[in-house]
Amino acid sequence: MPPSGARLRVLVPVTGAFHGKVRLKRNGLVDTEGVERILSRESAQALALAKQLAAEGAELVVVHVDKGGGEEVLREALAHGADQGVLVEGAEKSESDASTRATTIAEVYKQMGPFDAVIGPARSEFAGFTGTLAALAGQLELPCLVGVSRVAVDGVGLRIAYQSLFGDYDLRVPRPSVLLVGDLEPSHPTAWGIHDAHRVKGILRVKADNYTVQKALTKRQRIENVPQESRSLESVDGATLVRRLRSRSLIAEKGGSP
Amino acid sequence: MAFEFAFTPEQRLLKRSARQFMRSQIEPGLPDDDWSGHGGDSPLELVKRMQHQGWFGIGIPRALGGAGMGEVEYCILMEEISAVDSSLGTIFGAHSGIGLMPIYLFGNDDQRERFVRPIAEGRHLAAFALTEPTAGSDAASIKTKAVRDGDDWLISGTKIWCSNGNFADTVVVFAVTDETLGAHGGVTAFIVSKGTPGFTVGTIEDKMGIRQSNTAELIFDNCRVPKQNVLGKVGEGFIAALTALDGGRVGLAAACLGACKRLLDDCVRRAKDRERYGKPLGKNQSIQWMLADMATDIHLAEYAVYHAATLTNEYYEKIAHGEPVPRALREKVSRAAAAVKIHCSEMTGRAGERAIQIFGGDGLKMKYRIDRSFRDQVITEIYEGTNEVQRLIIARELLQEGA
Repeated sequence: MPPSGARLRVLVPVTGAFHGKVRLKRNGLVDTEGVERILSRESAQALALAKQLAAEGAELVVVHVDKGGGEEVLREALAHGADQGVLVEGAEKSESDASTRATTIAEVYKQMGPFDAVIGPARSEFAGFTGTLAALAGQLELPCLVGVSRVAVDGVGLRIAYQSLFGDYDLRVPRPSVLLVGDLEPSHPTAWGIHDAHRVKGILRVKADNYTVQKALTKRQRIENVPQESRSLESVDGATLVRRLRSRSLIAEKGGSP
Repeated sequence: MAFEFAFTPEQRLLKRSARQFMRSQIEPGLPDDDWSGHGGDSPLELVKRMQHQGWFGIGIPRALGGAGMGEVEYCILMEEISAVDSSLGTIFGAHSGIGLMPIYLFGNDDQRERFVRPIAEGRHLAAFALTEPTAGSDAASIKTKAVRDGDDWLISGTKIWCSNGNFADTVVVFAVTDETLGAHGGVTAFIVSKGTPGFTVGTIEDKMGIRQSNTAELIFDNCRVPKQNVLGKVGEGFIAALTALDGGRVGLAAACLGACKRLLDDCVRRAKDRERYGKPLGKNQSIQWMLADMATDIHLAEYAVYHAATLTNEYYEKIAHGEPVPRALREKVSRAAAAVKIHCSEMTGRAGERAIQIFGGDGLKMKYRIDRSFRDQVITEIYEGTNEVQRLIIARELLQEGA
């Protein structure tokens, strides 16, 4: 945590998404050549949450682990109001699994910190980003909360609102914490922000190798190392799930309190 | 060498974010029935949200509170706003294209600070008042007069068809200051603020199209304006008007392009979803031809509009920086602006007819908003200079070149 009176700093890891028609090649692979990369909707939601702290004077540093087309993704994040951008290049050569990404982001956190919070998206375009940020929280030994829709400074901590299956909560968490955004209206960049992101604000480019990324297990190794387990999953419809949760008093009865 | 004609990453982001914002934040707030919601301040809440996006000073430098972009970006916004609602496009165009731009281009530092900054920062709205009951296409025949009285000017006369006129904070008003000199030398532009004594709003026109855009009559009765509010030099108002209208026409063409693209999207969806004789409408060649003709019109228009915007941007940058403007560039801009204005407004008319044909009877129902597009298009062949006047401009250029 920065010394008292210092400007609050927030690290916002962002992800990209394909914009336009993505076709399948004859070999079954996804053909993304020439398809524009943009900031993912979930990242725009994370920025909307981070801007709540920016309104209280926080500096927002966005980081993007590039898999190609990353500069435009990062500039778009800057257009949403972030103050500084870090583009980690060369990551496309390594296995882009959650653990490796988390290690890379953790290195950015350590080298560019201190930060008061990490605020990120809960999903990315093809898979969950929750794993990445949960792994990040684990590596940095920080608390991690999912589904956050409101955040504000509260003394030496942060006051957050978050949603879960069991209801909405309002609680105080320490600084720093890793916060994954919940269902929130995405931020919209202004024309002023778009101008500044492309003509005023700079981007710090770093090579993934510089961060001594420790290669996590590759997918192949992971599959080989996980004991084969055969398990049939029970198919449960929504009504059954609600009934079971009610029977355990985990959600309210109709018209009653839990 | 390749001919590069593509948006920059910055322009692509502006276009995409404007589209998302308009469709998620503005479109749901539009009235379902534009026929009854008219003449009041109903669009102002939506306009305010658009102002907060920094769009209303898009072509103004950052140092003056604007977004520091230019005419191409102005056209991008016109396209995306008008794709959602032509009335909002008209409000934006009347404000940015012809209301604000002449103050920025011809104003001095003091005027830019006093009037341009609050507009560019999204706090004020602007309007442009040229047309009069007896001077429409022949704008040089305006009768509104301004008479010198000490350090002030007294403006008297009536302006009509002033978009944003009833809620604009700042209006650029053109008045005759020397009857003996005619339009070139005898007309001066004045910056008049809302609430100036002697300036009142008259009738708000009830129209068949762009009904959410208010079209006001402005009455000036010995309206006292300080000499510091003379825009540019005395007698050079008509040049300011024509210069602003060139950019305004390109913006209008972009608005038509946006409206037309939206119509095409609606028609394609209809052709896929609607089934007749056991197959989607789009399986009929007659429908396919209509869609292909619309798409072809749009494809050509897009290049022409953004080419005209690029020329206008070069033209405006020279004026704003006090550089001499080559006559060839000025004529090229006027001709390109006239051409895209004609082509795009008439293209939207054709698209509206085809859309109603593809939608059949549903095209007349309000819920599909095809009727609204059809009614909104009519004015585009008239305002910012009728298409007939635009043809005169082009023909005059052609004949001069051949002489």
